[in-house]
Amino acid sequence: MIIELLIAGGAVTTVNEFRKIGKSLKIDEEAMHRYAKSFSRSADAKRMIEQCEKSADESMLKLANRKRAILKSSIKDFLEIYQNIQNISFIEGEGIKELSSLSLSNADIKQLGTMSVSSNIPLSDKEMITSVMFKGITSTMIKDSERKLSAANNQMRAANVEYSQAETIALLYNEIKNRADKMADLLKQMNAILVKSVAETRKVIISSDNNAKNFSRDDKLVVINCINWVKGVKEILDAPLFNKDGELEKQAEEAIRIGEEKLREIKGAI
Amino acid sequence: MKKVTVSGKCNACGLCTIDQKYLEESSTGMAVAVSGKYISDNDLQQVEELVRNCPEGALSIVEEVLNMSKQDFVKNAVKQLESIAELGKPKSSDFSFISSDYLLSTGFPNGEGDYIYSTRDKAIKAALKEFDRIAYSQIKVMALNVLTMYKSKCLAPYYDLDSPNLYDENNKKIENILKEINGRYKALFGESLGYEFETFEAYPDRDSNSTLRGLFKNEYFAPTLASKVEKKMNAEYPISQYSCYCYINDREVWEEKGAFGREKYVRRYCYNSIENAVDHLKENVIRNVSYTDCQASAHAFACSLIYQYNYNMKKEIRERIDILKRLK
Repeated sequence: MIIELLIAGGAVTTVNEFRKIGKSLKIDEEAMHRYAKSFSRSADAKRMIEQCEKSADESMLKLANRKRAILKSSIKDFLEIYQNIQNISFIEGEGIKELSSLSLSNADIKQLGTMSVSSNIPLSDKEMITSVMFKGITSTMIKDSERKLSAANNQMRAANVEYSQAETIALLYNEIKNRADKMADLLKQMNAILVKSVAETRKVIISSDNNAKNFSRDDKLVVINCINWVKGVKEILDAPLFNKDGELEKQAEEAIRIGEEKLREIKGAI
Repeated sequence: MKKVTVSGKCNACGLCTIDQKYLEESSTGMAVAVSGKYISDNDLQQVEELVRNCPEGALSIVEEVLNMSKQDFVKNAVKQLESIAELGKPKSSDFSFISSDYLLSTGFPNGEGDYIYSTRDKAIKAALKEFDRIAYSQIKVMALNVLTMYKSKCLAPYYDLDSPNLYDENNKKIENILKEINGRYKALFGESLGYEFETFEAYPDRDSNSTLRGLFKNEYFAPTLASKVEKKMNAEYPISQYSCYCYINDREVWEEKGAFGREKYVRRYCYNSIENAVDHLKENVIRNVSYTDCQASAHAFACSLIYQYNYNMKKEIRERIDILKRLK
């Protein structure tokens, strides 16, 4: 009877130990799963920044193309016609120089946290002995697995922080992109009016035979409007998107605001 | 029927893209003709003016002779759709693993420089224990990290549909062909084949058990290979091999005053730095990742996704062909 009881007790203990081993393995698996997920999230964060950077670069390229195109076509036309009243110098300003390089500083992105692998907190010898003596080796295995899981959770938290940092950087890139797109669009609209204004002025000059006396009041108004409009376009062309410290320049924001206002005015007048 | 075309002379001034439907802007500001848009008689004058006003002379109007029966139209369109090429298999060289692209970091060691061990062996043992805690026990995690970075670098355009990917790029090309066909049909017969005909969205299988989902959730590829790396390294580089990289120092340490007021010193040992051992382990992990079949495996995953895409793409194209064949 005693032997039978001992055998039964032994069997129950063995089953219990196997159950604990199974539990430990399950926790280990879960820890690896979380590590995989967190590394993936970190990789996603890096990719998100790369994409936003690429997208912002394209918008900057669009803006640079537009600025050059306007300088080479509409402004060139304007300068040809107004050789004698040419008092606006269209030297490539900071805005053009800056855009011709087209490269954004990667330094901030590179600083994005390196993948830090959270390590397990070790059991001290004393803890190990106590734990093995009083809880058995399988319970210790579970405890160890739980520590691994906890480390994996830390990694996940770190990845989440990295992701939210990436989102902040992405916001900055999106702001650059939005501003470049806004500026490019504004330049397109202003250029359309400039082209018409230059054409109108050309007509006036030809009809007046380059003689100031032949200019009527309305003719003069056409010329003045054209010059004023060119000044407005020049302000946008010369407005840099960033200052020397790489911060978004307020001048650009102001130039866009004034440009949009002028555009609204002129569209209202038309 | 007339269409507007843009030459390479376009300088992105944007004038031709204001308030009209025949031209649009590319991401870099260049003018691009809208696919399948034939100039209506009402708009012809406006478009001619646009062409005249282009400062670079990059725009032109081309005449396409579109005079065919519905039967011929269907025949041509079907031929055009059937000739759409499949996405080519990626080259295995696209999946090269470059070890220098990967950096690993670990936790910081504790207990360096503590002269508390009575023998050299005990100091080495303690160093290895600390080394195990911060690095050796993390081999699988480090391998997983490297493989996830590698996967993201090489396979993202194949499995990440939220970012620019190969399929969207190819779908866009096919969509342009479909728009052309629809535009031509509209110009010839005055009716449209519908928005559904033009919209093209083919992707590899996307159900929960698919390769694409498994890669996206990081369940396939990296975890399997990381286990392989761990097994290989545990067998080939046992922890004891790293003991030679742990620097051990010793010195006389004051312990207590002796019975007759004499100073008592004992020799004590410490592990000075395990950084070297950790660096060697990191190198070994990266090297062993490159020794796995990660490149072949990544290539196989990419080929499998391309195969699935091509299958679904052909299916979608067949649906469009069926629509065309049903035209009376």
